[in-house]
Amino acid sequence: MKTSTLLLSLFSALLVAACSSDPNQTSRVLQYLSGPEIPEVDPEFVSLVEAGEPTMILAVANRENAFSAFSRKTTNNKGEEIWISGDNLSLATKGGMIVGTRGFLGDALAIDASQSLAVLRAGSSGIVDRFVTVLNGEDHAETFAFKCKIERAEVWPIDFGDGISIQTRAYSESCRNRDTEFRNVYWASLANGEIVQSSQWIGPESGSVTIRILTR
Amino acid sequence: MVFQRSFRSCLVAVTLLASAPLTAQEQDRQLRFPTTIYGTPGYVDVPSAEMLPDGYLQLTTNFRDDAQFYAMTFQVSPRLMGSFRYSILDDFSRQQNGNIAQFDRSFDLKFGITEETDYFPSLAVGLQDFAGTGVFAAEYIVASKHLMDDRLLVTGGLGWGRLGTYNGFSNPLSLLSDHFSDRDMSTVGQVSDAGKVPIGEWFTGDAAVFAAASYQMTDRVRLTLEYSSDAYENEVIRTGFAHNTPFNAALSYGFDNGVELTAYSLHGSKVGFMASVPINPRRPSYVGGLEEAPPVIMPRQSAAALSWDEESVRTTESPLYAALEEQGIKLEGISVQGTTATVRISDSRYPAKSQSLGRTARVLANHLPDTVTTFRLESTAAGMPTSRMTLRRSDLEALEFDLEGTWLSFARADFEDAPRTEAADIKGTYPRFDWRVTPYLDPSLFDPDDPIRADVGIQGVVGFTPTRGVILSGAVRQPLIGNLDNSTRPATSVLPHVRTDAVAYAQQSDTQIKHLTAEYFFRPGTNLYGRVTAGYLETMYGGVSTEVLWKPVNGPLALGAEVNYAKKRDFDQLFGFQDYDVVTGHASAYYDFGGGYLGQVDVGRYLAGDIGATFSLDREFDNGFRVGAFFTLTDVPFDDFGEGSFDKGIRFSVPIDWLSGEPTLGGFGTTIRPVQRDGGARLEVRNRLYEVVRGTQTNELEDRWGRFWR
Repeated sequence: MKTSTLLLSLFSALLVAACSSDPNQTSRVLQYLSGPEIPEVDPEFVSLVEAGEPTMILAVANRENAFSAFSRKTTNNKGEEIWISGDNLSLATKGGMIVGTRGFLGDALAIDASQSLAVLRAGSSGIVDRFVTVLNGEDHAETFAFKCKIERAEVWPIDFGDGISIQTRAYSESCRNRDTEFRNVYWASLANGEIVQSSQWIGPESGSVTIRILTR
Repeated sequence: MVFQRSFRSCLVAVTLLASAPLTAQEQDRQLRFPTTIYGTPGYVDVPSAEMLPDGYLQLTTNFRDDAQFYAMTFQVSPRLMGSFRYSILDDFSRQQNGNIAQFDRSFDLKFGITEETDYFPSLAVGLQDFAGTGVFAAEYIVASKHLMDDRLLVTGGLGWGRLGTYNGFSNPLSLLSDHFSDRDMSTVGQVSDAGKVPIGEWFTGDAAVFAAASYQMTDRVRLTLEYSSDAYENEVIRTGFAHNTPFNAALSYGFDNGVELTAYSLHGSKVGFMASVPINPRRPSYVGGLEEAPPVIMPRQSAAALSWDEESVRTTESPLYAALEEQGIKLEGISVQGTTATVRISDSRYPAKSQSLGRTARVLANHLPDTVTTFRLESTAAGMPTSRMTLRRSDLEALEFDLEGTWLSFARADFEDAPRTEAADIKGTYPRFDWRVTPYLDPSLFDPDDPIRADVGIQGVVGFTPTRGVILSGAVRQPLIGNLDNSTRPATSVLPHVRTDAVAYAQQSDTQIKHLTAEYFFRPGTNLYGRVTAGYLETMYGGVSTEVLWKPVNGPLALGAEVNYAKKRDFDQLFGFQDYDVVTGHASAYYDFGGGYLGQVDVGRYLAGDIGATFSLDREFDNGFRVGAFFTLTDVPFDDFGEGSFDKGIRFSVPIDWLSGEPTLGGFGTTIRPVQRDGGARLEVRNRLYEVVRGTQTNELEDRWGRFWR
């Protein structure tokens, strides 16, 4: 058995020295052994920020220090805003509701939160349906349906730093189906109804993410 | 500057959000599955009627001071379970100069007859060690029922073979035939019996009753008590095992990830430990992968805005070429006629070809003028165009974040064969040169004398593709350390030594040429694929290999024919040859049964000149994880074949991206045979057409179509 342990150790040590005509291949081996590296900031993201496009920050709730800044890349003719991050993630929102993610684990290929958005826009409470299609471990699209209860909560001031604070109406949305339950929270500006901050569930792999609009 | 200021405040925001009232609960805890010391669902000695969830693998190890067991159990289908076990039994093997350890390989099968209902137990029938030396040979029929909110599992059963040795009684099946009355239990464990399938012995001899119960005391702790009908007769005689009581007990502790640790007492004389790890092949390490997001689909632009010019796009300097290259996809050809653009791509990055099609389509949408409304994407494999997908640009734009987008995008796309490319070549895509230097691990598992042998070293692989479909490549290995050459097992085969000289190949070589070949891949016609390979084909043989495959792009059936001339290489694995040569070849039929089951039959002439057929069945999960089994019957008599009687084995392969989450082709896998002999041995040619072609065809694309939008 000692020999096999030695062989495996040597094999692992040699993996570090592996190289290839495909630079991706070489760095992938190194990355796998050393853990994820901090990627270089996507220049496209930087140019969007410099061009004054809207920005937001996103944090993954169940992972420590997992947050990224996003800038809006485009708005399509369905009114979906698509945001990209400096570390090569992308996210689609509609009226502040996340409608899709790319590059997150077990991506939300699509989310239909139109009923929730309608309740929030009406400034009321209510029971709604929510649908989430995720990419599962077999590379299939799997759709989950949830029944959600939206409750209008208190007015909540959001501090944007540098002395800027805006008043928001908080809403909580409790969703469940047979296997899963989660809670989304939204803070909508009292001035124009825009969701400036929220926590939204994007699927069983990534759980909830919190997003906050930084600049518009 | 806006961003910098905002970024500082975002840290404040994250802190604030972290304290916001959020909850997310999921039932994400891995299930745990109690196993016997043999690695199958059950208690200590005796099995239960339980099955693993469909498709699960479970790895187990069990050790005590006189034995070690390592087992892999696979739930082949909801009702059928198979196990492979490697065991080391101290002092079990009888030799002239005293008893020595026996290294034993054995296989089990279990079939679920009925599932448990509110009032009735589940029922199963099983064969233990049905194709090995018979050391653990037993058959059983067993019933199990959960009680007390599933905390208590009670089981009763009737056993034969080993499980009929304690308090046994006359076999009730002898009412049917005298054949069932007797069984000779004294000859088990003889290596000469290895690999035989003694159907005539199943369910014969005395039968005995066994019973067991386990109680889940807490979420993590389970207590097990059993009455075993195994008297350990051979162990008592050969190793001095003391069978003091028929009762065994165990205490298990489970972890959230499904791992379970167990301590058990065996027949009042031994204490042992077990560990089990369930693996769900459907759930890779990183669901959906770690790669960067795909390109975002931008609003259409006019030709003028894009500075579009069809001529300049046919170079490797074009923005379109660069954008695809950034995705790891090579644009090999493009033609635009009216509103339709046809492109040909080659992809050596994504294991799921649906993903390269999805990314290519989005790059096209961002780089082709607004007047182009239809995209036709030709996939290639080894230079051959294999399939052509047609999709409407408007569908692509409409379905990007559609709840049904995955299904609709597949349903609205058309797939057809592409025997000839319809995209004009891009200048400068050939010739191509690639190389890599990597370590290698060449294991030889479960050798009858030593469980693990392996060589570790450095290998260099080079490939040169002067033009589409022609590949010159070679691989050279330099072993650095290892013990593959330590085997002292003599090659005693009475057949030509077509495979049993493996030790000589390890012992008499240093720097090794693993292959050095010229390959030509071509499309002779619709649904047809061709391959010619010449050179040093594999470790032991050089020669020429030719193959034709018929495989419709949308169908489950494929038929192939292969003819090879093979000459045995020198043991030094350099350029020389030995005298032995053979013309070998097969006619093959492949069928994709759906649900991940792939069947294959190869009929033809094998390396030793023997004629016969190989039957294979693999279960391939859509993410590429694969487990299979095969056997070969040829005109070589079982006695001439030697140990094992005929060639058979199990194989598995785990894709690299299943483990690492990074989109990388290839995988880790191995084939486990009870023993490698010379009968039924096939030439190992790289890049057989079926595996080369099928990834870009409709069945495989559909299986992983969720990746189209990833």
